[in-house]
Amino acid sequence: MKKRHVLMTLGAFTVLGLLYIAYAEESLVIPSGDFKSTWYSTSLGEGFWWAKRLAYAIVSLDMSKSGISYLLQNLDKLVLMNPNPGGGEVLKYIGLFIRIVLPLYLLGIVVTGFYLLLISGSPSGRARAKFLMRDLVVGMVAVSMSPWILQLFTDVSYQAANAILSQTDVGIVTGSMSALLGGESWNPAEHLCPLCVLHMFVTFIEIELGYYTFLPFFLIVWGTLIFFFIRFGVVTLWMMIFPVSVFLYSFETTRDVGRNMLEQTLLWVYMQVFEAVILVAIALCLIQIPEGLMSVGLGSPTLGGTMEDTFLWLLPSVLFDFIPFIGCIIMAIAPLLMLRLFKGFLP
Amino acid sequence: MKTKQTRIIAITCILALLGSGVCLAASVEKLLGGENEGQDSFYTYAVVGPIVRMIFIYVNMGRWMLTYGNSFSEHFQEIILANPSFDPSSPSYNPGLVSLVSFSIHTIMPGYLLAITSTAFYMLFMAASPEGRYKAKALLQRLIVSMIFFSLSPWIVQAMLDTSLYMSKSILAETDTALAKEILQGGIWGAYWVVAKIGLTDLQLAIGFWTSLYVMAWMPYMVVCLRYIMVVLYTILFPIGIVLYSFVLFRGLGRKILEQTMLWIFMQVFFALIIMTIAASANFYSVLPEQDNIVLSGVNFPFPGMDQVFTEITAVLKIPFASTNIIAFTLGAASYGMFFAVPFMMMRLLHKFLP
Amino acid sequence: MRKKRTLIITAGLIAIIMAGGMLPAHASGLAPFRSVLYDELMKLAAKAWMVTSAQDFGHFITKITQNLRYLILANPPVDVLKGPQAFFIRMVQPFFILGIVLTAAYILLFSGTQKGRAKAKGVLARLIYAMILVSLSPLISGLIMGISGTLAKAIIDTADLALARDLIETGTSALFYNFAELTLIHRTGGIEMLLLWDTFLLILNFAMAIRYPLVIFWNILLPMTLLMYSFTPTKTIGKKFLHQTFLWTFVQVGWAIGIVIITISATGMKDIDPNFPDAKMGIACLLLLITTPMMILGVMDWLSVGVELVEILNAAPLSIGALTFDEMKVERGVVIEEPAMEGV
Repeated sequence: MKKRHVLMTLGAFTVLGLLYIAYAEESLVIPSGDFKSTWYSTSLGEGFWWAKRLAYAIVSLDMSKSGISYLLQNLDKLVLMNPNPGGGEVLKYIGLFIRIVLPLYLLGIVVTGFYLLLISGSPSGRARAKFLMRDLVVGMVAVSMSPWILQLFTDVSYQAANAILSQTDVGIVTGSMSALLGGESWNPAEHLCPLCVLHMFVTFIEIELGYYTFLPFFLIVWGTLIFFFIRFGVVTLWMMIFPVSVFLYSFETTRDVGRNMLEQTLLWVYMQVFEAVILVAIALCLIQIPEGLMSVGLGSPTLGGTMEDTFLWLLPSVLFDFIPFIGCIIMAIAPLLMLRLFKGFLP
Repeated sequence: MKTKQTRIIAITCILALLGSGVCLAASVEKLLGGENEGQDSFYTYAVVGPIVRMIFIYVNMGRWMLTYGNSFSEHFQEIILANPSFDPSSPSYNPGLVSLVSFSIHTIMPGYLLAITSTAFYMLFMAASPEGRYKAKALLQRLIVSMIFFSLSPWIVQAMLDTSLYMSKSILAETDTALAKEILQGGIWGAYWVVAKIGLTDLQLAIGFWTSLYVMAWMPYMVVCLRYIMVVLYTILFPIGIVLYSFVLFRGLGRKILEQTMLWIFMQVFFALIIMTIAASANFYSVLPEQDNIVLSGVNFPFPGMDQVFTEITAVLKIPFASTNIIAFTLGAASYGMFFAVPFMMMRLLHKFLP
Repeated sequence: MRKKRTLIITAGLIAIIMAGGMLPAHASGLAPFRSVLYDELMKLAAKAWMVTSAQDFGHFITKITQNLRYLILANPPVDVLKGPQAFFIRMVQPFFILGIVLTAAYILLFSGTQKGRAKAKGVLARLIYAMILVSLSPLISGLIMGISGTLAKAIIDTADLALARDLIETGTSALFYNFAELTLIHRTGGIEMLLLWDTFLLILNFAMAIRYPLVIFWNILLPMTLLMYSFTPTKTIGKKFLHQTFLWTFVQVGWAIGIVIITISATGMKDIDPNFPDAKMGIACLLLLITTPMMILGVMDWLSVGVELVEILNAAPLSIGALTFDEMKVERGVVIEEPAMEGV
């Protein structure tokens, strides 16, 4: 509502201003023949043109990079975060599903026991019933201990990811991402990174190109943050449904379904480890590879000694460091890769 | 409906012109006399621009909507029931198809005769082991049965087409086609009014919805015509399919051809079912409570807030004037989407159903 | 913060332009100055017009988030299905009758081996059972939709729908605000943001709207599905159609679970890290809501469980013939030879 009021006021303001100018005496009457582009009107017009493009470049950068300081400061924390199965809302829903599933297990155990003890069937039937009884008992124990089992999964994943991340300094990655993408504020000094300079350059050439050069920022910053939250949400979902997955896995008819669900649970929880490995791999790349190996752009060490060099020296160097850029993209695509590779690993 | 919509567009156009004109009347008066370069950009941008866009959207696009946009929803009955025919007396008689099919039959038939003759010759005069004789007898049986079906293939296809036509006709006879037409039109006119509203300020903003207008106008036609082309294609291939199906080595390919023939011929029934479904889904209007089924007007006045006033006046007077509501728009768009989703689902599901 | 900033920019621009307009007229040397300012003012007015039109459209589609409960729980009434289903039942019943007559004729007149007779009796039982089911199709449709609706309602009632709505609106309004800022600077500056903003909510609404006709479609086809399921040659297709019927009806439950997940994750995230940016959380919640049904119904594939259950029920004591044959044991007692009678 507030925004609407603001914009309505804005619109009313402009219209009133227009009417005012329309009716204000002589302010619209431009003496004919008197007006040709004078130096100050052209410079004012030019000034508006430049000012608008600069404003567009800065505002679009700011908007697409909003949240980058949070992302870079907390990158390791974001990788390591997990929902807590032992407390709050999640526990409430796990309890709900356990309360639905446990009576069914009890019924199954009672019926199987009845069959084994009192109904003499064939030996193969009895053997099958014994295996079923074993599966049911194990399943019932697993379901009643779901919160602890899930806590175990998440703790193992957390410790593994933590151990991997502590092998190297995540600051290297965040530092080079910061150098690549720049900062978040209105201070122009924070926007002197290569991609930002490219974006500004391009916006002054043609503003429509500017739409496409601000997309990398948008996708990297917003996409990574959104992806971390999606993983959090999906892990919560599979945690909630864990009792049902174990229940479906215990019975022969529904074993495939249960297996799928358990696989998904484990994969989404252990995605943490995968992301930690990717971060460490990027950090190691950045340490070991010589400066400027995969950088492209003006001022790169391959250009030299020609006349263009003297001109290029005047422009800011638009060295585009590919490794952190691709690293960020891989962080967002990694989970899909993982889901594909580790399909069907449970018996 | 046509005259009503024309009237609606004409009145909207006039009202929009008047509305914008009031705002700029004073300045336009003063500026019409100016012959200054510097004023050019304002004049073209803020005065001529909206007027040209208004004319384009309401006159050009409006006429396009009245002819192309409404076309499918008005003529779906004839289009869905269209089938190619072997019968010279029917209006969709296709002499080229008949000649192609008879050509393929006349070409392959001697092959059958040759195969039968040589198998019989083998059995009678070159009697080998009992096993060989048994296999030859089985082959002979299969050849004769297959030859009978092969020679009857145009009639078989015609029978399938007639069955499908009869089923579709009876399904369409049971449905309320006027209701289906209203729902479909609600969808495409809803998209049009959104384009009219947003596109009046700048055409580039309405790109997404404009694309959806073209998709909605042409996609059902494309799907139905695709079915017609496939039917013609598989009518020609059906005899060859029978031949292939009778030999073990080529059975897979033959089966595929036969399955596809049946699938595409009976797709007509699914199209009729879609229309029946669309008519039956009119209850979706009652899902949202009355006050939440908010109305979006297709007119766009430069004064902020005037659109709301206009919408409220027309709502109070109960005139559905150049407006759309969320349910009509999305249900209509979803109905057009069914024409894409259902054939796709059927192609995926009806896979390998012959033995 | 950003709202204040935009307000300041635009207020500043307008102030400059109006100040330019208020310059005394006789300073004719400043006229070109004023014309440029006037030009910019007109462009700003046009851009404001663009933003207000988009905002009206925004009010239009925000009603979707405000009515999520009604849209998720929408199920067609069974009355609507009765007529079309009756058409298909009338079409399908002759096939059943033909099948039953042929099977009965086989059993009575052409009885071959014992195994064949037992199998034919099983087929007969299954056909009669399926014919009864087909005649009860409206009730079955009502049952399926009732189960799905009740389950979805129970799940949604436990969730905090207002929180879910807030989250989604925060995310999408951040995108709209970015569009407004960029458009006020240059008229074509915010088009991508506009496309992103209106596409997200409309995809959700489109999915909810296309589910309704598809549920009607598959329920109208239910008699045909049951027919295909009960004859062995067409059993696979019948299974697939039945699967699709269940699938599209239970998408509701997927969305209800999605709403629960959104609310739980957001509260969990606030506990762990209160500084997580709200706009990104909102958009991630919207994406979660769109993809949760796909995850639950596609990956889990647990609707085939429903199909297995129907199959199990079908093979229940009704097909006594086949079961009896399987479990038939020949009783062999001990043979006691009677002593031969000696010459009486």
